Amino acid sequence: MKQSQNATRVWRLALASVKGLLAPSPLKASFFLLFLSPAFLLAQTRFQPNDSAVLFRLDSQFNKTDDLQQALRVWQANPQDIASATSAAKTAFLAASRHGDLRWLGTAKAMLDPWWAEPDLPSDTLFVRALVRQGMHDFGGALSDLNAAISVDPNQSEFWAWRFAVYMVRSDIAKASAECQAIGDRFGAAEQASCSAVLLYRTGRPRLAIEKLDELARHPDYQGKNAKEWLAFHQGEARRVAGDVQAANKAWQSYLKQGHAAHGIQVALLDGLIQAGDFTSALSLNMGPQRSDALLVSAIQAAQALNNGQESALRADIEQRLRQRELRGESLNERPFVKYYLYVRQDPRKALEMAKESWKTEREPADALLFAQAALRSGEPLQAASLLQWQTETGYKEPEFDRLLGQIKSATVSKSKQ
Amino acid sequence: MSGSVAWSHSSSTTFIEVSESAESLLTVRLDIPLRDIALRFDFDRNGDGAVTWSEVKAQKAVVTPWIKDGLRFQRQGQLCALTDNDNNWATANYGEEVYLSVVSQINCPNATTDRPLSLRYSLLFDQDALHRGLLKAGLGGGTSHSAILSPDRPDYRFDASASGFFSVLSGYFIEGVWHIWIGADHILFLISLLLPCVFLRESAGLGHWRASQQLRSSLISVLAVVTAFTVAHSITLALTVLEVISPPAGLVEPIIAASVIVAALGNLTKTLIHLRWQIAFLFGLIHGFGFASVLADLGLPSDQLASALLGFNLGVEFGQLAIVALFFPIAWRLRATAFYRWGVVFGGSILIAVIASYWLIERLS
Repeated sequence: MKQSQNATRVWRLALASVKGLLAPSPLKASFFLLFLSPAFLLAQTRFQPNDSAVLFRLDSQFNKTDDLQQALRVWQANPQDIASATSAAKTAFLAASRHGDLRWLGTAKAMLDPWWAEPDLPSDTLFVRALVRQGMHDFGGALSDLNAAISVDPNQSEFWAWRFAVYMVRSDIAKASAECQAIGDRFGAAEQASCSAVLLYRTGRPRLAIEKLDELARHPDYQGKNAKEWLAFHQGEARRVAGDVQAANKAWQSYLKQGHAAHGIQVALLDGLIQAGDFTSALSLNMGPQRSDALLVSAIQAAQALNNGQESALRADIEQRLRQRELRGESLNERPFVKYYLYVRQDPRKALEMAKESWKTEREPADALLFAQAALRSGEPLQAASLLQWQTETGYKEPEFDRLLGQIKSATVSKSKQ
Repeated sequence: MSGSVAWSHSSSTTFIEVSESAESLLTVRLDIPLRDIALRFDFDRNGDGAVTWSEVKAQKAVVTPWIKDGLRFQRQGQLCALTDNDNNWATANYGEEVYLSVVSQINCPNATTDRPLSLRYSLLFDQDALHRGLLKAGLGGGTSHSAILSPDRPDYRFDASASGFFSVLSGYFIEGVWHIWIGADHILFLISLLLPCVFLRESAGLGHWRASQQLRSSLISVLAVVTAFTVAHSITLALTVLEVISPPAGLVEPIIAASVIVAALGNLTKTLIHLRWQIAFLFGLIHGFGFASVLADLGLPSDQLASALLGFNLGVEFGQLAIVALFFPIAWRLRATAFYRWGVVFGGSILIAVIASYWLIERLS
């Protein structure tokens, strides 16, 4: 039972890691604000709704579960109490992750603001601050907090699991492997099985990963809700990496059919359906009343392929978000916008510029794939030559990525012969 | 966990628009996401989970003081009052998001009307550290302002001198002068083309050219090169800034380096030395792209685009003329010497070509 709880605790946060959020850059922000100010001047039309008009629904707008509601209440009653602020911030972070809602990440940070720069904190607070920091792309700060949390309390398996997760985001396979080994040594084989399965498909052995993940799905320690969600995501992802998109989609669909909210799986499934050319299913997926940026961009791709008249309304919405994002100077949450520039606006140069910038902090396979596609479509394959080194270091293999990398490699060889 | 998802809903943003009427009445329009206000105030009085417009309006008495506390205008340290009327609340849609849109008059104490207005914005920062207020203002005298207000920078001062036409023009003028002076590639390109201007044109090569005895013809030669370069780079600078054309960034800088090589080595050939103003024009087009990228790095105020562009271009021309003014008298004085012909024009051209070749290799790699 204890192991089951551990497994759940260790992996439950990891599934919906929120990494793509905000990187404050005042200069860049000011540039965008000045540059795009005419768009901003076009303030939206004001109107007086009917008194009975429903403006929004609390559940769909807030993604606010009962535990979050309770955490907010406790925190608002005493915002200077570090224990309740830590607990509330963790709940808000989980909401941000599960629903892909960046606003809850802002709330989590606001809750921790009184202790944001404090070095000596309880291990739980250090840990939650690390979660928020990695969500804001401050991976160095997150690692520093995780190291401190682990040195204070080395018996919390989720601290270790998150340190492994941050190494993986940075594609630091050597450190991630060492961390996974340490997890096994300290917490046992069942805990280690999860991280080693991920390492397998991230280092070119997806078939072995699939076997291992399917085995874990039958393991009694992995029957909790969070563990199942984690497994469903990775079972699908390992299959996608192995080149079997249909099987990946099936794994994700099967999980979502159970009615769970899982933003990460929704995004993965939507992309998988588009990759498989099943645009009708992609567009008919129930994505809730408030689509995340990622879901919205994928929906536009599907609508564009179907040419069924839905595209323009969806594009208007994403353009609005894009404007706000640029006005704010945000460079978090890049992936969906790289995709938008690449596939919808057909502006590979802009996509390449963004992908290159994003690659400095995030080095996951999805980032690598977009980077390669943007470079090739821009006619500048050499700009993504660093991906060759990345593949050598990580061992990552995936049919589509390998194909693109082959083209980049050819361009590099031609260049060196000149 | 690795491979997990980082994609999220956009962050929370409030729009603040300040305007001034012909009668000097100041108005502020504040558009705030209703979802964020509803985190703080209990709109759903009947508990059905659906928030109606009448339920929102019912909270006006408690929401208004909160807004006034978080949106504080001041002149000379004295707080300006925000006054509302019964119908100053409406809604506005930003994509899928519904905003509460509040319009208020800003009434500052009479004694302070000639002092600059300032704003402190602090709404929602305590509940969302990623929340931002986007400020845009158009005030009297044609001044416009924009700013991003954040927990770290909640204050803004509406200083008229910061955004006037001449202020922007002079600021970008200095940037233009500075850029041409520190831009060795532009300077060497121009100098290469000007080096032979103090000789009389002959069909043969440099060794047979005679030092000019006519100041006028030499000045015309200088003018032709400078004008061609100016016209050309002005064209591409403007077209790029206006987003009519968008050159591949990776190509511009190497071509600029190559243009310096062509200009320098051209002095050693029988053909190219006669085509100096044409070379100035052709490659001037490419140098214009380079200037445009500098402007982009500086950030262009779109509401003062004309003054910024004009200021930068005038700055570049001034900087260029200053170089010519420095170079020409010396060249004219030395034109008849072997030192100038072989040391400066011949040796200098080779040296410039070597330097530019290094730049070319560096920029290509």
